Amino acid sequence: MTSYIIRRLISMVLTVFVLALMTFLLMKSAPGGPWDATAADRKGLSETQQRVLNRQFGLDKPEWRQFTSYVIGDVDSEGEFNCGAICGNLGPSFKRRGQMVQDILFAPRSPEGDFFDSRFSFTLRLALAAITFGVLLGIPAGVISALKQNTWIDYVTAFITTIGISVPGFVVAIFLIYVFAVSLHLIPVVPKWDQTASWIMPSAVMGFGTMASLARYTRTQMLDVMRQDYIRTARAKGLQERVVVLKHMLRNSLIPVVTILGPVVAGLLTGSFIIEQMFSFPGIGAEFVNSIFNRDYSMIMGTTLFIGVLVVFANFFVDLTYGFLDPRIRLD
Amino acid sequence: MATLTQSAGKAPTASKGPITAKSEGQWQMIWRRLRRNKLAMGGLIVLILFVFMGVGAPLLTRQDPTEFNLGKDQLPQVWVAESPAKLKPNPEYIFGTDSAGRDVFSRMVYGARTSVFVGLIPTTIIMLIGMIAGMSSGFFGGALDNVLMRIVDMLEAFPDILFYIVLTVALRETAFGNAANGLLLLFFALAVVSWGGIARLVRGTTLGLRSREFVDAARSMGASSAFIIFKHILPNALGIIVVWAALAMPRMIIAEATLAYLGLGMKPVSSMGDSYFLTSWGQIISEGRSSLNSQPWVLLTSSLCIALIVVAVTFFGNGLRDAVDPQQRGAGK
Repeated sequence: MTSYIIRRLISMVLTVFVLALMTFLLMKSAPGGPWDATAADRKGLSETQQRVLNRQFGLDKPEWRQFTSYVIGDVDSEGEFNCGAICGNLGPSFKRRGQMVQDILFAPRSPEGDFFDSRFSFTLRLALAAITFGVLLGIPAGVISALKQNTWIDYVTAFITTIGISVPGFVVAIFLIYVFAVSLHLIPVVPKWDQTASWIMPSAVMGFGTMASLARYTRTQMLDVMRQDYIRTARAKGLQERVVVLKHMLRNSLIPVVTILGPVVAGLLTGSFIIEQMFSFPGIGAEFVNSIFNRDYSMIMGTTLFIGVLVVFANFFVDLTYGFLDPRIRLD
Repeated sequence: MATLTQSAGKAPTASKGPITAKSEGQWQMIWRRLRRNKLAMGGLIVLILFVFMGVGAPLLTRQDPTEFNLGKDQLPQVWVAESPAKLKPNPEYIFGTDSAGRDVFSRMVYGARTSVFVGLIPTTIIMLIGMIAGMSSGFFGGALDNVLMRIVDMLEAFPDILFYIVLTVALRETAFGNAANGLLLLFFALAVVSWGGIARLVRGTTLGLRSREFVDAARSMGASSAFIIFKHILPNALGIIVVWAALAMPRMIIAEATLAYLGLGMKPVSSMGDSYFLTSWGQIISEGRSSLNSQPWVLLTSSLCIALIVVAVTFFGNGLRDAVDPQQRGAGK
C-alpha cells in the first residue's frame, strides 16, 4: 500500500510537470504576446515600455530559464531566491498588473469580502451544487430503472440519460436560458450571485451531465449485482425485498460508482470554462478563457497547473477510497 | 433465439439436396441485430439525413450563407408574424436572417456539412493512430508498450477541453492554423488529444487475442507477425474499434462546436467560393450568443441541430455496441 502511494505520488508529480511543460511550450509558440494591442487598449505599448516590462516580468531571460523560474524559482537582482509555483507562488499577472495569479484565483474580489467571495470559491461551490444535483437525481434514477428494467420507466430514463450524456452543456444552457429566463421570466436574465435563484440554472446545466452518467453507471452496476448468487441467497433465506434491495444490492452496486466521481469532478472543473462564460459567472473558468486570449502567460500557467493538480488529486483520492470501500480491490 | 427458430423452421424445406450450411458473416449478423433496434435505426436515418443535408446543401437552398443582405437583418422566421423588433418576415428567408443579414436557413444547412465531416475525418484519423499504436503495443510489448502506454496515461490525465484550447490558441495564427480556414488545425488538435482511449482499448484486445489458440496455431505453422496481425488480430478487434469510433463521433462534433463557440473553431468565411466548408453550428451560436433576446431563433435552431445530430449518432453507436457484443446489453441503452 505504502509503495503504491509513493509510486502514485511520483507519477502525479510527473504528470503535472509534463502538463506544465507542454502548456509552457504551446503558450510560447503562440504568436503575439501579453503587451500586444487589444480591443480595449488599441495603441499597445511603446518599445521602451515593453523592454521595461519584459525585464520586470523576466521575459528577457532565455526560455528554459523562464520555465524553471516559473515552476521552481529564481534568484532576483538582489541575490534573493524567489520560490516559484512549487511553493504556491503562481507569479504576477501580465494583464492585471500589480496582482498575483494566486490572488486572482483565491483572494476575495472585494477588500471587505472573505474566502466565499473569491473566484475559486465560486467555481468550487458551483461544482459542489452540480455534484449534489447529479447524485441526488442520478443515483435514484439508476437504481429505479434497474429495478424496473425494460419497463417504460427504464426507457424514459435511458432516453433522458442519453441526452444528458451526449448533448453538450452549452446547448442545454441555451435552451434553459431561453425557456426560463427569456420566455417565462422565472429567473433573472442578468444573474445576481448573492441570490440562490441565479445559481439554479448553471448548477442544473452542469449537474445534468453528471446526473446522466451517474444514472447510467448505477443502473449497469445494479443489473450486474442483481444477477449475483448472494442476492438469490438473500431472497432464498426469506429476507424482505426491502432489505435485499437496500442492504445487498445498493451497497454493492454503489461502490464502483465512486470510481467515476474522479472523472466527474475533473469534468465539472474543466467543463465550467464554457458554462461560466455563458452565465457570466465570476469563477476561475471564465477568467482562464480570457487569460488565453490576453496571452497572460502566468495566469494561463497558474490556472492550468492548479486545475491539473486538482484533477490528479481527485483521481488519486477516488482510487484510494475505492480500495478502502472494496477490500477485494488490491492497490499495487 | 429468433435465429434459431427461423433456421429450424426453414431447414426441412431446404434439405432436398446435400446440406449446404451457408454461415452468416459477422457483419451480416451485426446488421441483422442492428436493424431490429428502433432507436439505433432512427439515429442512423437522422444521421443519413444530415449527411445528405450537408453534402447536398446547394440543392436545398438558393441563398448564399455568407452574403450580407443589407437592410434585411434580424428578420424573423416565416411562420412568425412579427419579430420582437417589429420586423415582418420575408418569404425568401425561411428561418429569417441573423444580425448581419445572412440567411439563417442556408447557414444551418451548410453547418451540417462541417459537423458531419468533423464527425468523420478526425474519428478516422484517431482510429488509425489508435489501431497502429494499440496493436503494436499489445502485440510486440516490451519497451515500446511501456513508452506508448505512459504517453496514453499522460494524455488521459489532461482535461481534453483544456488541451484543445491551448493547442488551437497556440497554432491558430500560423500557416498551419490558417489551412482550410482553421479546420486542418482543428482536426489535428482533436486527433492528437483523443487517440489514447482507442489505443488502450485495442492494446487490451490484442493482448487477449495474442494468447489465443488460433494465434499459436498460426505461429506454429510459420506465419509472420504481419500475417497474424492482419489475418487474425485485426478482424477480431474490428468490432470494438468500429463501436468505439461510432461513440467517438459525437465527442468530436461537440468539441468542434465548443471550440467554435469560444471563437476557436473554423475561421469565418467571407465568400462562398473560398471554401467547401462555409460555417459551423458552433460558429453560428458563437456569433448569435448576445442576441438570445432579440433573435432567439438563430441560437435555438443551431443548438437544436447540434443536439439532434449528437443524440442521433449516440443512439446509433449504442445500438451498434449492443449488436456487436450482445452480452453488453445490460450495460447499454
